[in-house]
Amino acid sequence: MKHIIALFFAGLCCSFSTCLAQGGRYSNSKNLFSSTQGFIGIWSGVNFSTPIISQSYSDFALIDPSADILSDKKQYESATTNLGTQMGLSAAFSINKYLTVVLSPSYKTLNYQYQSQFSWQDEENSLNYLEHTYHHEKVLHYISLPLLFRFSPMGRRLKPYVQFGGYYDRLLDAQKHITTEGIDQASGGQVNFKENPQSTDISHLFIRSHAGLLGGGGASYNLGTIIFYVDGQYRYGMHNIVNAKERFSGSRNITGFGNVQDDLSIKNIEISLGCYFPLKFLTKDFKPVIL
Amino acid sequence: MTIKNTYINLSVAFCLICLGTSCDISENEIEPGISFTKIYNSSSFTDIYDPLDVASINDSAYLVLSATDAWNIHLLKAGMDGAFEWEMNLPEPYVNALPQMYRQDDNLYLVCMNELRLGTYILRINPAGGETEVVYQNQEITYPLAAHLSAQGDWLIQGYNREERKTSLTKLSPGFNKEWSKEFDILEDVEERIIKHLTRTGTRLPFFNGYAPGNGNSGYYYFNGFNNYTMALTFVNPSDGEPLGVMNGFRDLGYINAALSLENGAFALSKNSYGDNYLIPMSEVNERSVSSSSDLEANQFPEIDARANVIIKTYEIQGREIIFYATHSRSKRIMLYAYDVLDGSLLGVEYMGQTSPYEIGNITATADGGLVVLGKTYVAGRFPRISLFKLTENEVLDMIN
Repeated sequence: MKHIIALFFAGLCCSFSTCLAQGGRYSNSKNLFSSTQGFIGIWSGVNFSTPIISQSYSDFALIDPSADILSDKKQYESATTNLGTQMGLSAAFSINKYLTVVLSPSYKTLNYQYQSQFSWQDEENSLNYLEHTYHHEKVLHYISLPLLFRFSPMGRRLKPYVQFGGYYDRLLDAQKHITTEGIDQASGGQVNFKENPQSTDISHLFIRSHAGLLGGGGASYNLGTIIFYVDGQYRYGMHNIVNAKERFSGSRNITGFGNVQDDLSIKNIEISLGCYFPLKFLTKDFKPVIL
Repeated sequence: MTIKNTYINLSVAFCLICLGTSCDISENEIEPGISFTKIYNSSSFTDIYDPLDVASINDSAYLVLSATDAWNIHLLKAGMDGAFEWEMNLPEPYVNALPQMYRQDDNLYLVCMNELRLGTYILRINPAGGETEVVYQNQEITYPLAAHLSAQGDWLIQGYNREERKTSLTKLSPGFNKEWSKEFDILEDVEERIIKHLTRTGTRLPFFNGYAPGNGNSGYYYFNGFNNYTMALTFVNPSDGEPLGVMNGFRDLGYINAALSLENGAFALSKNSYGDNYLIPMSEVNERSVSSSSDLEANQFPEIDARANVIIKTYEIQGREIIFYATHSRSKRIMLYAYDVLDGSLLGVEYMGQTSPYEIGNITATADGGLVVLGKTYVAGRFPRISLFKLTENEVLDMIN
């Protein structure tokens, strides 16, 4: 995996250099100052995560597997439920009219949820029944460092674009919130119960790095001294983010059933709004360089 | 510096930072079986398991001995990653397995009782399929309470003679021939307490036998059981069972609840006094005197459950001999205390179990340098089930360093 990431970033560097070279040729034929532009901006938005399970684990083993009543399979929620947020800064450099290199460091939260169910039954009286449902929510906080290549083939004031690149996220911390609810029909009647959520730090259950590829698109609207943009990204995590060495330590020491995490990577859809401020101005009439 | 150059430098720095800090991606792997947690659950309300001992089988599987439904005998086999393979209940008349499996060469044994005649069996277990074979039975050794298998293959079995109200001690040769038998007066009827102990309807009492190499003297056997009104640690001559000395408790309210003879002649002890627990990782014991466990100086461990089982074992971890005490807290978490065998100093403590209440079953070392901790947990806070924690060598080292 490390080699794949190294190749990926080496490729990014090569293409970046090529673009700069092309930009340089372009500048030589035009006015050097007005052929490029830099931007700095701020942005924020929401994201939706989908965990991709590569290997499932459990700290429960059934000794009566023929009994169909009990289950410990994690049922993951859909992406629309797994809402996270991000906000950050963005530095962009337009090499020419069509190509912009963007570095957008941000603070980001990823969220994914699942639930697991257990049930027990009195063999002598099937009306005696107990069911527990554990709802797990994992919230991961990252510093995200995406590097993007943005192509804007058309437009001057309103410019749609497509983009691709890669990202490297660094885990700050991770939290877990667990809610237990169920049906207790073993105490003389049916009681539906729901306990207060419990939260705990599970940072050690994840590795610090999270790297992957991203692609997407968006559009910017140039108002002169400020450029607004809407941006969409599809992020594809390229590796397991769960710390294999600590996989079972959570089930020993952290509250909640089913603490053994599955090996998983994260697919993430990110939607953001932001604005850029151009850095280069034509001093004569204080108008920004517009490519 | 132009904006363009700034961007080039930033991007190169970005790539270098990413490459330099992403080692955890490529190193994020662990071999199966190095670490796991397993709870062997069933969907039945009425299943009750009381795990007693775990044995590592050819470094590729684990065999768990448990009591179920009070005193029936249950065997469970798990793979090296803890995955469930099979379970079985031993048929009648075998009940009341002593809380230990005994290993001699490649053979694995358990000692149990005849349900009706109360006599003693030694069963050889086939770990592949769980089949058992009676290698020794003696219906005259009634109420088997503890057994010890020496390195030479000698057996020492403790029983209770209900008619004479005496504790019996029987030594068997490696060929299961009786070498000697000795009885110790209790002077009162303790059968009810023993029945409650066996059927788990009352206090579980710490019956055990062992052998001590001695310190300059010849070795001797010891047993913890009823003797002269009390739960006493009694030292006996290995050649005929004649008593050498005794460390008295106070009835069944104050007693030694675990003991392990160390190579330097000292003992690692644990004592219980009216529910208060004390761990004594290094204690000089004079086997030829009469003493009292209440006179042992020790620190009280108020976190240990009043009636918790205490396991003491020594294991060599990376060339270092460590005394492990395994027990559980009043809050029902399993606790491992590690002490240096050289001076009895505390090296570290590990707590396990937060999800559900846990009680200690037993511990055993594994070939990869780790530890397997057998416990009883109450899933959903109410159903007693078998649990296994496999600690890696690094986790054990973290505890003792």
